[in-house]
Amino acid sequence: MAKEKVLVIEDDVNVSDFCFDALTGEGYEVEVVSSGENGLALLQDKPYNLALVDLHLPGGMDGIQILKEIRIKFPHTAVIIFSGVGKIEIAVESMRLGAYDYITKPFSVDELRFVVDRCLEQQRLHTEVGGLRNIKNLYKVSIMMSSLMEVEKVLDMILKLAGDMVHADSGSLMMVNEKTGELTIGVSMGMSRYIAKNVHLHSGDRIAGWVAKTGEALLLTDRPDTLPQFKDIETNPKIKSSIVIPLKSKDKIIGVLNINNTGSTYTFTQQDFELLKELAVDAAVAIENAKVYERLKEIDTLKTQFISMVSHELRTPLTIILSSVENLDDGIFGELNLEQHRWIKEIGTSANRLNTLISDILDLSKLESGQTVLKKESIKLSDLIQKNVAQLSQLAKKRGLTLKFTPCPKCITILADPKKIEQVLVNLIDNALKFTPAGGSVEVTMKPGEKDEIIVTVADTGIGIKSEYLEVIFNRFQQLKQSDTPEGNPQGVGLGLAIAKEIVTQHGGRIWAESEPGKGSRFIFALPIEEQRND
Amino acid sequence: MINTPDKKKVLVVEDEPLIVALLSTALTARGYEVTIAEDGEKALELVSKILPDIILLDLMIPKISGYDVCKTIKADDQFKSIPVIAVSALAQQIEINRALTAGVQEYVIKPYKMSALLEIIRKYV
Repeated sequence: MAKEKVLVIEDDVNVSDFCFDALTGEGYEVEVVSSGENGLALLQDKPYNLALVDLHLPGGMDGIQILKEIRIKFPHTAVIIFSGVGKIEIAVESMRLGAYDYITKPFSVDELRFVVDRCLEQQRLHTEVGGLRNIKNLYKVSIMMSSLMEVEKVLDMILKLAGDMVHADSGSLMMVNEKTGELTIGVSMGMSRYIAKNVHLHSGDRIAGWVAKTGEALLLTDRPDTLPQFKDIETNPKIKSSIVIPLKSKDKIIGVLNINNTGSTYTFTQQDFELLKELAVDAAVAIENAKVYERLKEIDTLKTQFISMVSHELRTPLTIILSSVENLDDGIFGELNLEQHRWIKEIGTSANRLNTLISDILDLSKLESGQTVLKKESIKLSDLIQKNVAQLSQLAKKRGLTLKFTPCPKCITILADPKKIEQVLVNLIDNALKFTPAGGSVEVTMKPGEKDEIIVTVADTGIGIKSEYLEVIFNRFQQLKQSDTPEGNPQGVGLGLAIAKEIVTQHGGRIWAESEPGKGSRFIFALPIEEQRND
Repeated sequence: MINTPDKKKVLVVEDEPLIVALLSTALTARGYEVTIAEDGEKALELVSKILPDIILLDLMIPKISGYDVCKTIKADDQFKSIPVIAVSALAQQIEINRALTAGVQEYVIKPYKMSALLEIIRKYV
């Protein structure tokens, strides 16, 4: 660690020599000056950890004035005052103004070392705490970069963190309008609401506009009009110092961070400036991510509205088709011959398929956009399966298949949405019936899994699936070409499996398929047991 | 077909003419007396005029929405016992709940199976 630097501002050579020897012996780097003006000049050149200041000094400035000046311009330098006997009131006043402590002359080596060591120890702690807080704040911004939040919330957090890191009392985050290039205030603190709402700056206008145009960050510790580029602008005289930083994303300037100190005596330091430049890099990414997130949410809402509207519009003509088919089939419009009967039935079948597809698209889009809220309740899975198997056994019989269910001896209740799980079951069983030739069988079984889960298997004696397709069949609109299946003629596109996968996943479960061509397929899903067993 | 003096009166509230035609043909063929209202205003007018035994109510209809038609009927002591069957192409749970809150007895999603719709009607009249 570098030596800590102590500046002694004292005109009495005896005292300053005494201090020099005592503190150098302690391992500090010590410099001595005899006037306040010289002391401030040295502080300007390099940072000191501590200044020891005599109350009575030759020249224009006394100890109290020097103290005030140091507190404002060099807040990271601690001050200890030397006071003579009988000057207790002044010493107390100096503490009120921010001195760390005072020592009454004459003092011993031990006294001096004690006060100085304690002061610097506290300063070290303070620096560490400050450093930790800044690391924490930078970390918060990096968390924000990857979290899903609205733009306004992100802006608000960035400004608060930035202000907190450098002890600012006011500021704003201005955003560049992508179309007009104008700067407007996104969020602000410690500013009049009227100003915050009504500021519109063109690129190049005032300080923020200049930063947005040039992409250069500014640390202003003096009046801005001392800089040539700002000599004509009027600025708020209350602002003592400011940091103005462009927010860049892929070389494009997306905003400007303004951080000010008005009332306080604190002046921003080079370190504050570096810290905020660091923050601005992550902040820009976080803002861009939030923008993308908002846009995606918008698109998602539009998509859902569109799908909902389209499905409504499609259902009306389907109603007309299907009602016509039923009326014709019922002979209400006169008797049909056999051939007419057959084709009317085909129209009905196809229209029904269209209808299922519309419902499936709507279901899937709602599941995927998170609009479907699972209504979980405690259900006896075996009862649910039994009920659905019973309902589908008619269909199985019609196709010349047997459908049976072997319940698990231990009847387990799970926490799940019964309607959604039913949808999974019906989709799987229906698929199995569809892809199994007459004479075959479909069997549903259930058993406890290795972990806290329950496994349901729908096994058929159908045509089977080649291993390379076992995963893709769960994708949307994935239909196996006839050549991909060992035999048979698969029909009906699968949104069913995509829906089943989405439902099972949202329940925290898994779904997969196993198959050997020619030996049938097994569709298996595992659901977590979220409740105690209920035997 | 059956043609008894105590024919059950069905009020069909629907603005799509082809659906009206198909539905009334099917219902008439099964002995119901069908009256048509193509908007919400007409529906309320006909309810008090003919005092139907059952109402098949589309929800998205001109002038007064199906939800409001149902609420008005259910708020009237004279008519509130008339069963109302919502028949709608809106299939979202939120819309179904809204209709149930308005007081409909059943909710049938379009496209419906005519035989299933007839079964529901028979349940009430």
